Amino acid sequence: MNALPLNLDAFPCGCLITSGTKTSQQREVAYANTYVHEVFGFPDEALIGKSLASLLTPASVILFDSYMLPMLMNDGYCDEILLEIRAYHGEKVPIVVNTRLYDPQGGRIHWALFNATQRNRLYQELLERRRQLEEKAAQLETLSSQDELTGLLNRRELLKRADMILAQAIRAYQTAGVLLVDIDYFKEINDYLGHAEGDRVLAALGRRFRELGRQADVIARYGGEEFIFVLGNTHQDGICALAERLHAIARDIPIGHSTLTISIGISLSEGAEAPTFDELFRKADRALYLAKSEGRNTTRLYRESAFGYVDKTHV
Amino acid sequence: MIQGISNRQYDEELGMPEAQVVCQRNNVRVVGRGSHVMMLAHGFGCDQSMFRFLQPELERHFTLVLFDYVGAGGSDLAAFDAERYSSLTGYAQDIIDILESLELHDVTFVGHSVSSMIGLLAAQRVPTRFARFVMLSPSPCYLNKPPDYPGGFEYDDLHDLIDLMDKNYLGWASHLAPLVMGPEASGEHVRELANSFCTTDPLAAKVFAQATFFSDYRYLLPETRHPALILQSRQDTLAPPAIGRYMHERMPLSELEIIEGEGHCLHVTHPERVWAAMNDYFSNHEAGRENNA
Repeated sequence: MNALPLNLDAFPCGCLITSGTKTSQQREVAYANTYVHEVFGFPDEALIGKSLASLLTPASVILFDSYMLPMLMNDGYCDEILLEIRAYHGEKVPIVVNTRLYDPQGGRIHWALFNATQRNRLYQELLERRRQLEEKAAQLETLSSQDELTGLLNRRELLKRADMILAQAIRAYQTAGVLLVDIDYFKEINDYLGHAEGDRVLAALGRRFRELGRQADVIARYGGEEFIFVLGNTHQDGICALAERLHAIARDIPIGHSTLTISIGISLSEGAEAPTFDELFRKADRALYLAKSEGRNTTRLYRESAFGYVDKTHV
Repeated sequence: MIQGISNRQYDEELGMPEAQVVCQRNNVRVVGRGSHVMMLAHGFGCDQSMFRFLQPELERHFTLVLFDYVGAGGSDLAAFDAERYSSLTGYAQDIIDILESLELHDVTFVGHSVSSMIGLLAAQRVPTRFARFVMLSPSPCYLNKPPDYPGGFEYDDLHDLIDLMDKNYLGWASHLAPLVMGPEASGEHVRELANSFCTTDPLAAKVFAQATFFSDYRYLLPETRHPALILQSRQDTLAPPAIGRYMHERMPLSELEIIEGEGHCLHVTHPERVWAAMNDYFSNHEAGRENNA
């Protein structure tokens, strides 16, 4: 069989040789076939001697130096990389390249490259789709963690975060606190003034709680007319001062011929004890029950004592 | 000689992370022998395996500490926090964590590329942990800052880089790995698939690229208090000799050596020349130290 004559110029892909990754020569084009010259608009032989850094765009040079060259030196090849070439008239043209380190001593690199303009459009579209998906996912995450009416976190998100906050507080020897808020006479508001008025009160209270900012690590709507604050680093005076502010906030909201009032129950982790969220919640709930049963519009702090479970003094 | 590598317990008082946790997180490896410890910090784009060509020689003289920044190579991806690693101080904290948990002092720090600056940032925080620096192809700022600082790149170039990273196999690899393997694939298999020479998580790589190429830490240079050898290649688009001179002029205890070679990865392409330059520098300074003594 006769050997076929080898004609690299007949190949419909770019064949390129660059020299000297390991020698002291410039990293420059030693050979380029007709495809490279024609597709990127270079006159005959204009590529020979051109430095790699001037043939590729600056971003492509970074990618080449940071990823491709190390892989070439280690594995001897690096395939399917999208780069951009600076064509003869200065325009950027995307290319896909396969590369081989041909001669480890001299460091010659053989490149097979293809114009990737169409493929690049597809990539661009994919990226745009991915960006949209990420945006959607972020929106969904907000939706799934938020209470629609008040804009506060919902119960599910609260439970997710509360244990983490408590664990951190315990690790750092900080006192954690749980503060439960319940709107007084909410059933009556709904029954006599209508559910729309009930929703308005919830939304108004929620908005003002949100505006408190970082007074608590988590503020959530826990149930119908119940709100919860979880604080990872607090103390009795601090959390009681917060309770006072919350009472004042409620009093600012007009309802019927009067203003809104709330009842508050508080529990704190004390000393070396490492309570779970469930325990702290249960204690705050007992304190809240007492605040309700003793006339509402007040705060009770849970405290273990010889006389009972809840501190009876007003906070 | 490195005590911390054993099971040192969590230090409650200092709040320092346990040595084992840090070593796992940053894929720390300790190899070689020698009374002096040398830490090798890889640059953007790769992981500790970049040092494998230089390593055989270094191992004969030093105890080497190799690691991957969180997000690169064999590090624990779960520890990646886009906010912490959005600036170089986050990466400097990785170095500090490793030095502290291994209880290392007077370390010779070899940083490739951006890691040189990360090392300087760490040294500002914990100076006694460092003895001296070897900076391989460093640059304190990759952006052109007219009128007098030619960082080499414009904003648009660096946005192009992020775009290219997004579009490349490098960026899609680990997105696709779990899909390719099917949902029942074990983590081990997925890791193997992505475990070629230069693995990096696409998100982490992008965050690292942004932290690296949009940063400007030129102000650190005159504040350095450690001796430093700056090694630059004769031809390097990312860190040309002019940048080496710029740094040398501003770093009080620095020496500059231009290596005959091209490209940004001298320790990969010309490991013998890099070692020769380092060795000369160390010998000169050892001699100097003995004369003073």
